[in-house]
Amino acid sequence: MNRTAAVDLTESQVRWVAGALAVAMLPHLLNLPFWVPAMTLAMIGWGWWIQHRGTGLPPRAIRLLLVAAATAGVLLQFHTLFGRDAGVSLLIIMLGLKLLELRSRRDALLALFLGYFVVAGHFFFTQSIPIAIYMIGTVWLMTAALTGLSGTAQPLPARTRLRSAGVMLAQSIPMMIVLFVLFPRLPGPIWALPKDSNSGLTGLGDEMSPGLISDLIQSNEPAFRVTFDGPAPAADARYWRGPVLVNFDGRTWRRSERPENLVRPPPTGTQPVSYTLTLQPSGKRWLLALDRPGGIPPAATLTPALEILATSPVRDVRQYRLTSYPDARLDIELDPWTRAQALRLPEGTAPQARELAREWRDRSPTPEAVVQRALDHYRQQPFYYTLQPPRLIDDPIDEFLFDTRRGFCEHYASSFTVLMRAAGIPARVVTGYLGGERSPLADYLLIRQSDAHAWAEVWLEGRGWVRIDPTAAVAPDRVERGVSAALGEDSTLPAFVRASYGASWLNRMSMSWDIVNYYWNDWVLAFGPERQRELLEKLGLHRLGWTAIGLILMGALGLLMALYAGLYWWRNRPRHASEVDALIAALEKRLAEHGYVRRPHESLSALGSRVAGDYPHCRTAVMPIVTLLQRARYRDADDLDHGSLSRAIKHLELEKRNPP
Amino acid sequence: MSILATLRQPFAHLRDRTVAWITRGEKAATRTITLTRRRIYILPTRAGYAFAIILLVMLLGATNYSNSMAFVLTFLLVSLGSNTMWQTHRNLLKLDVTVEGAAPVFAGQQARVRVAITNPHRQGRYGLQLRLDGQPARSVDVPGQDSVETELPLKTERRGQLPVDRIRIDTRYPLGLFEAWSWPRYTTPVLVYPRPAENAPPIALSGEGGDSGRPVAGDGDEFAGLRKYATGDSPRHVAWKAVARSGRWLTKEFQTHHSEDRWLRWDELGAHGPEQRLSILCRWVLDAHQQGQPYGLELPDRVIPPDLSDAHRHECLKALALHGQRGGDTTP
Repeated sequence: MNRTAAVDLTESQVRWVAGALAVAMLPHLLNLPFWVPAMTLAMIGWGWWIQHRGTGLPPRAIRLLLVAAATAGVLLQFHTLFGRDAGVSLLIIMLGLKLLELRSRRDALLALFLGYFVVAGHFFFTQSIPIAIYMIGTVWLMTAALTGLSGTAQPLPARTRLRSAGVMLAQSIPMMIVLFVLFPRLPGPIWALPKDSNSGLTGLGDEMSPGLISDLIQSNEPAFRVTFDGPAPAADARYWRGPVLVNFDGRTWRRSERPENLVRPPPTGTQPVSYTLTLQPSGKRWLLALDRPGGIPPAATLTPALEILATSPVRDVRQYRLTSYPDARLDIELDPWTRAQALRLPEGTAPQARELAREWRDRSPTPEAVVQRALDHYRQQPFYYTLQPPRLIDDPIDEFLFDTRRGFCEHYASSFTVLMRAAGIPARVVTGYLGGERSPLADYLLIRQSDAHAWAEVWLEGRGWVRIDPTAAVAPDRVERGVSAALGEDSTLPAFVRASYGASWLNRMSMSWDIVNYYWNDWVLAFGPERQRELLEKLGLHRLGWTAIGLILMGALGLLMALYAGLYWWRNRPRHASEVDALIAALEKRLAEHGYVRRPHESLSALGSRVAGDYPHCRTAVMPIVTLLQRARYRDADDLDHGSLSRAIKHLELEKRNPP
Repeated sequence: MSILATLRQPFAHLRDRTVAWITRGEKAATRTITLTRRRIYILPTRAGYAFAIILLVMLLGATNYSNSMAFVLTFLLVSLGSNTMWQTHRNLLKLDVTVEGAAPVFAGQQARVRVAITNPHRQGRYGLQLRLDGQPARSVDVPGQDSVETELPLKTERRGQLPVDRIRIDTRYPLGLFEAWSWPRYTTPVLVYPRPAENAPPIALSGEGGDSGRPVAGDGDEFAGLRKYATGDSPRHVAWKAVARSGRWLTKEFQTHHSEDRWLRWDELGAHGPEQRLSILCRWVLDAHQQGQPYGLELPDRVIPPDLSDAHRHECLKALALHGQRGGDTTP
């Protein structure tokens, strides 16, 4: 309505708003295409410059042009206006534009409110500890900027703003914790998530082609962490089961195409191992489990191949408890469909391997003997374990088995499974992780992406599916001590997969930092509907239902408020008249030390005036004390700040340089 | 504008009635009111509602992406928002609002009511807006254990004693999400002189005998005192010695033995209505004072003997202001 560019904000107000928003914007330089945050920062700078120079706001036409250009840019960049990246980009560009039309307090308030949104936007990219700390600092700055917009007569000094904003935020923390723990959490998502919400996550895929796992092994990222209830199994028994791959096209292994509603009950064994697993977000649905899982976490199903699938992709740290039975028997009876699938080989591939397998079958009395012959073959022929295998061009299986003989787990698992199928033994590839590093200080096991592994399962009459790890035949160290032990010192590999890394100070430091992350994940990031239910069960509240828990939440908040009110009341508690008298006596004593004895019938204010008359420059020190004491003595002593008044009296000095 | 104002009139009335009803339990004071819990009201501002909506959207986003840190941020801001409700309320709590009074003004002029705010607490109180009905607000910050005085404009229309009435004191500090306010009410009167008539007839002079037309100039033979030099004074009467001593231009005044005091009389303005008469008398008092001639005032119910001083001028104007008003003369 007001078209003239009259600005009723002071420069200091604009400076605070622009500064806080710029700080909020900075980390987006890492998240978004460079031009988006850069353009926003430029507009924030421009907005500040306008106020600084007192020039008019840019004309409406220019602002509209900027809006159009930015929207077009976002469309070109992301091919959409929705989703995480495009959405956050649009938000921050619009916020930058808002800085070019800051006129009133209301504009500035809105800009800061949107700024809080920008802070939330960061957390959709990363929730790491450093970003969390940075963002809390940003919220502090923005809150300090808000205090400057509340109509004070004088601009508040920076220290006052920061202190009052800091105190308010600190006071808000207990209530935040109560809300975080007790506020009813709904299992998300409420609306469909855009595709890009999973980008940038690493983890096992639902297929395995040459090179996939070696990419993973190059990554030092944590995959998940595990706390065992009892002692942890030995490293070579820690097979973490992930996707099971059965369909092979000669190059790539894929998961079964069986319908998803097919589920199975978990198998059981005699040696339960219970643990809590905290999974990093992978963007995939696998929930890893120690082979073989004997249960199903909430909101997940168990496929016939014994894979645990969450109902939706894991986008956030997820924690679950499980019991596994490493000795569990799996499918003593094999249904014909699964059997056929586990024997299928694509036509015309790996003729040499098929020939070799047929020969083994003909010469062996039992399938077990065939398995043993195959493992002996890997052991006796010159096979090498390396993360940098030569490229396989036409027929990966034959080329690997009879030509290059250099590779790592995926090559061994893949070729072994093909050999078994060719020999008429149902077999499949299982991917997952192997091993894990024990944290030196806390009682948990860290499994990194570099622990990714692939092995084989063969079905044997009377024994069901049996795990066979052909890699172990070639590189026993890989199984017992991890990738770095199996590889030796090779300077072309990332430092953390080299043999010397395990003992280095770098690794020790990285493991210590991982502990912090472990607790961060455990207590903050993994706290969702499941953790909440678990916690409430521990508190004995699970039978109460959400209405009751809502009431408990209200009660807890009420209690907190009562606590604050009580604290406030106590600090300003009603003073007994004798306390006031004691203060008056203290003041009289203090003044008597300077030669001012209260005369009979002399009122306190008369005494104060007498002193102030002799020491005019001390009036501001003496009179407020006198006024406050009289107010307390004759009206009400409820809100007397006893401590500070007592200190003021104690430190009252009448300067000698102007004697009466 | 005027149509708008007329339209607003009934609403203003309704609003006044509502405020009166809300504050019916609060006692008015003549000097100091302490803003206690019962006197402080608080509601979210428009910015507060906008903030709430933004938090709701943030909560939805956090749930949708099950993003823990987004939950943390949302809950932190929820707590911050509810915390500021306390802070804003506390920003007014236990303040002493004292009306110190206001210098008398002529009807139609703006009175300036001096108001002191005393903060007994250690913590400063910021962004206090004070205003009298329909007038622009004054912004005040009061540091801890300190007192700050400000002047609030007050519109006057009629002569008499105008009570200060309701002061609205409000604050949005610290974050502007809530507004706390109070309506302390004061019976403290502001004295409003009549509006001086603009086209007043010349002073109808009347001596003691009631005959008019005596010479105006105070040039008798008896020295009466000194007054400020006014243009037109005879140089013979300039008190040169005093001028040399003080540097200020002063004129010696003389008096004749016969009283040449002027009487400003109510009765001589029979042709005018009562308020008009008071207006004209007011103008005459001002003129007579200006001319430095002692004058007396005669009202139907009050006679003020001739004199010439600021106090006398005030007394005359006050008599005019309170003429015919209940208890007018008895108040000091």
